[in-house]
Amino acid sequence: MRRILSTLILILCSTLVLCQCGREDEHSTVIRIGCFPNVTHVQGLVARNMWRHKVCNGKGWFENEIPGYSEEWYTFNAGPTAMEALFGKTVDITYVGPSPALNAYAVSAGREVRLLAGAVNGGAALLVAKGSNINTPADFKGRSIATPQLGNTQDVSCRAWLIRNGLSCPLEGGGDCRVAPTPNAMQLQLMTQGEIDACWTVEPWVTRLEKKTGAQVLVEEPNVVTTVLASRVGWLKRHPQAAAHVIAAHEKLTQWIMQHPLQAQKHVADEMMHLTQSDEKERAEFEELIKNAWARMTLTDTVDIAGLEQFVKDGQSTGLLDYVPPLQNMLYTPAPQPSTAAH
Amino acid sequence: MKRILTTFLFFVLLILIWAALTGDLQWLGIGPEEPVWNPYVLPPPGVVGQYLWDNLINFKILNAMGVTLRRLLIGYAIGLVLGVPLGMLSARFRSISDTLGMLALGLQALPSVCWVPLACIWFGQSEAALLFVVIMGTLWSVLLSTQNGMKNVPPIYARAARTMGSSPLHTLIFVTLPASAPFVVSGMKQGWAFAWRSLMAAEIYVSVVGGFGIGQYLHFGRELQRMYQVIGIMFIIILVGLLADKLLFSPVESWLHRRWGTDKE
Repeated sequence: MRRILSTLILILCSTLVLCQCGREDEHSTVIRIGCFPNVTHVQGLVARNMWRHKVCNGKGWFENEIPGYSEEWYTFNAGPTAMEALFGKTVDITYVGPSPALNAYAVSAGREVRLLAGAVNGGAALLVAKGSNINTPADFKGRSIATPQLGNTQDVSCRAWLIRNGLSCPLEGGGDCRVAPTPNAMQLQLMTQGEIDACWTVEPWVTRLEKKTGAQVLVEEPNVVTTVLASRVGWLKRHPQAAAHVIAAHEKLTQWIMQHPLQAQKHVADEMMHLTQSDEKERAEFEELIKNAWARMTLTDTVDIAGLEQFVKDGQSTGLLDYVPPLQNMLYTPAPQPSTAAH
Repeated sequence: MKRILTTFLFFVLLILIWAALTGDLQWLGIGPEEPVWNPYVLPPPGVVGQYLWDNLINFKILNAMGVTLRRLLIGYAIGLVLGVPLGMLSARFRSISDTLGMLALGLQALPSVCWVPLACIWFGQSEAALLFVVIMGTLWSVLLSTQNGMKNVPPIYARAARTMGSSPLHTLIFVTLPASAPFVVSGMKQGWAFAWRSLMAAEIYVSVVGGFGIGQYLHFGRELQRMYQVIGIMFIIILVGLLADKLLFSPVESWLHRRWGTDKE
């Protein structure tokens, strides 16, 4: 009896400890922001670089625009990991592709994830390896296509495109062709080794594959949403004013990048070199890569709801997405500022 | 019987606590009004059960178990076929013990999932890469335990056999090897545990392979934020591990203990 009692107490204590572990510091004034080392996360990379070098009045871009708050940056390989961090309350806002954000919104029954703004459209492409003789969708039969991560935006786009063209690609394998989730950094090597015949990925990896392996672009969707700015409801509820400032700062940053593309490219190159731990000798190569990649994408600050609805359909057709609550609720509308409300 | 009942009740109690905290017992009025954890953080047992049921009746999990067990058994068998003779040689010859034995000692300290990056480059993202990781998990521990087992056999056994006219090979096969069997079997069991753990780690790590194993199901559950899938697959992994232990090793071990008179009863 005593043993049972002590076991029960132990379970209760561990439960309480676990409950406490998940709690965040509610009064924290540090905004934790996530982005990926992809050119399509241009706002994220520019802001991260500015934060690292403290170029805006000795501060980062966001902390300079948001009074009383400071920023901290986190990097992820692809969307699903970023959404995991959002659920785990390790980041407050993140640049992410639409599919993982939609998946997280659906999984949490519309309770956890909100979209603050659009960021980038285009910049993703399907490349076929040199000498693979793939010219039409039918040529993909029996071939392997790499995508950055299962359930990420390019993965969903790729599977949906194959299905639209009459090819099956079940998760468990055994269909007409194989979609192989492979980290961006490994795709070049696998394509060189002939392990994959094609790759659906984002910039700068698209340009890198083109330049280094002679791969050719087969499909490009320049108007498709590639990156959005997402946040979690818990943080938005506690920091409504900071959230409104974040959105304004993001819009201002987007404008700044559009007006200063060369300067922005230098920030992106520097940040990508830092994140990929590249040698100083490679700087010219990086800058050239980013300049080429730049042409493929369009910056924006609005959320394209129609585009997102297409992603929902794509996700559902591939079986990666179940029921998604109405998308209108996913858009975050900042609460009126106290000064505005007083008028 | 009483012990089995206690164990059973303990597990039922655990599941009930889990159900109460995640809101599955709301209809009975038990548990907090709002679940302590959101269902996407810790899904209730009902959802996990439903996932397991759906995927068992459409054979998806069974197929994945088949793929995983095939990899495990082939990798493990190769590990044993290489490990036992090498361990015997290492016990017999000092030069091999000083070279291969030392290498085994070093590599045994390396978790075999560390081989994954190299295996992916050497063999591509294929079955061979996973087999290699499993073999690296099994081989060294089997080699070392065979070596230890053989070294621990009292020399008097071999001497006695030889005075009775037994040839060296005969002594090895009929005296030394059976006498070291308890050590070898516990080494095999340890090798199995290493192989199982390294295969799971490798399947979670490498998603690009021909077959779809249960480790990959777990990984995909993570990627799609389906925690019910992650927990469901964790149950399957525990089940396979327990079954292997109870069906494969326990009978052999208890037979050996009976045979050598080392059992407790």
